[in-house]
Amino acid sequence: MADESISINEAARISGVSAATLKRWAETNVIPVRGERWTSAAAAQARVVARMIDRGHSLEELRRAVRDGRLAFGYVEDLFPGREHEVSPEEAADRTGLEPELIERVMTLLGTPTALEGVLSEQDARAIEDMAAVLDAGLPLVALLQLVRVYAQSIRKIAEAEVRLFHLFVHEPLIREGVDALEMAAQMEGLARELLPLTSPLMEYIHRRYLRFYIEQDVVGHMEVDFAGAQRQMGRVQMAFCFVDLTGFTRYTEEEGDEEALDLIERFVETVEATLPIEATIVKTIGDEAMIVSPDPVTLTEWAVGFLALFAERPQPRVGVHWGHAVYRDGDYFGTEVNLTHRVVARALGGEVMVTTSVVDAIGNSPHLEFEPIGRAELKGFPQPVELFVATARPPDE
Amino acid sequence: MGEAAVVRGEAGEVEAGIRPEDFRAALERALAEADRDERIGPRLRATRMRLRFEFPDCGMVLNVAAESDSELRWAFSDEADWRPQLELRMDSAVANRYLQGRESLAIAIARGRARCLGSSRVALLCLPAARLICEPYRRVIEQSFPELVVPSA
Repeated sequence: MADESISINEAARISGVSAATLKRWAETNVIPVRGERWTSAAAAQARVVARMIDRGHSLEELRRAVRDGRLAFGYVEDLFPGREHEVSPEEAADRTGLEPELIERVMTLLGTPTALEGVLSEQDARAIEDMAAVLDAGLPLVALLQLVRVYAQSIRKIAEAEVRLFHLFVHEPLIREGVDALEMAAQMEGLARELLPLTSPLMEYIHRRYLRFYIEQDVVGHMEVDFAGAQRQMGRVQMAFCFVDLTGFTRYTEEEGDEEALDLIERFVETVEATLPIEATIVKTIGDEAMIVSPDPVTLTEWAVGFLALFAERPQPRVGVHWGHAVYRDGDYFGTEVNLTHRVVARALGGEVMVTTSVVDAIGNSPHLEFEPIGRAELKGFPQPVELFVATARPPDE
Repeated sequence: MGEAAVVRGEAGEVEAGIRPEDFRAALERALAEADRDERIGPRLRATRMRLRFEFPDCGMVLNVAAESDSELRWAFSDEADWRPQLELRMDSAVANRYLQGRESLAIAIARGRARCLGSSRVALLCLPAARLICEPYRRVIEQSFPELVVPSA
């Protein structure tokens, strides 16, 4: 526990700071030590102080930060188990039957290279055992490595969001209220202790919901490919790719300011999510742009046309849609046809849905859409001109 | 409660013969539940949206107003004490599917089955907020109006 007494030498080992320096920091109240009673929370704070000094901050600045509660960090020591038994990569290799190089590779993917840390924790070793069991069960190594990378990237984002939101909505209000530093640490520890056990079941619940949904999508997709007699290409998927962005967003930001622009982007992405057909997915958002994929080019194009009808004035979105193949890797789609879709949206004007011939062919004769050919366009990076069409809603009287 | 016939439509199964009184009662209870819900209520009120739904097939109008410091207000009337910012017009069958998350509003617009009138900024605020009503609506119809439930495709 963070509150239990430890020796100053133990505190020095945990923090990576000499005992003499620790004493000096304690005397100037940069780390919370009362009556020469050292704790792992104080050692954790010393570790952060050392990092801040390395980054060029003065001791006086840090002392003020501690006084204001801005450096309250030691509370996390109580929430996570300390490093128990240490395991070498070789020992982990013996336990799992995996090569030490593979273990090193996996740990690098997780963002905790053993090259930097030298050893694994018991938790790391247990995770490696789980991965070995996954391989034993028959999942190919190439798929496992991609899954590990996707897990690491996604969960890193989740952890970052949790910490940032906790800081913005819990820590900062306490600082503004002028709460005493130790009381602040206690309050944050109490709240974090209640919240932390809730996160894993919540994530597991959301994970299972999406897993079920995508398994169903996968089954439907396979059946449709079989019905259509389409040729399978290993590692490649056939999808409708779509990019949507906001034209005039830079000008909007200049006129309305960063906060308003950020707000607009958030609501824009929320509205995309709220209106997308169930089988379509946002792959990623980059600034004012979202990439969407769907196994169904018809509903995705209809969505695009209907979505743009919601925006009568600037900044107006524009959309590019293409139906083609791409390599699916690490939760993203790659390849020439994805790049082509990106070039297509760049040719659209605000309020326009621009599509390629493959979309028009895949949709065929639609009772709801019509396509106006705009001719063959030179697209950067593509040697041959590409035929483009503007998709619109078919007037109801036709 | 009346029986709802099911006909094959372009978006899958579209329910026909929705009884306006059932639909209205389901909406009323869903709004009340949304307002009471500790998670949904505050989020809805924070949007301060003023939304008008028009269901021409059953001659029904629903005005909803969310305010940050009071309960959600709604009126099944063309006349309300507030001016709507956004108007959504669709038949009750489309609305019933939309409120269960079974119909994309954008696709309904593209297919000429729904209309949305209002400024882009308001649409960006109201449309994600309107989706908050889906969860309580689904809950209410599963409990009390099973004939309104649209099975997943």
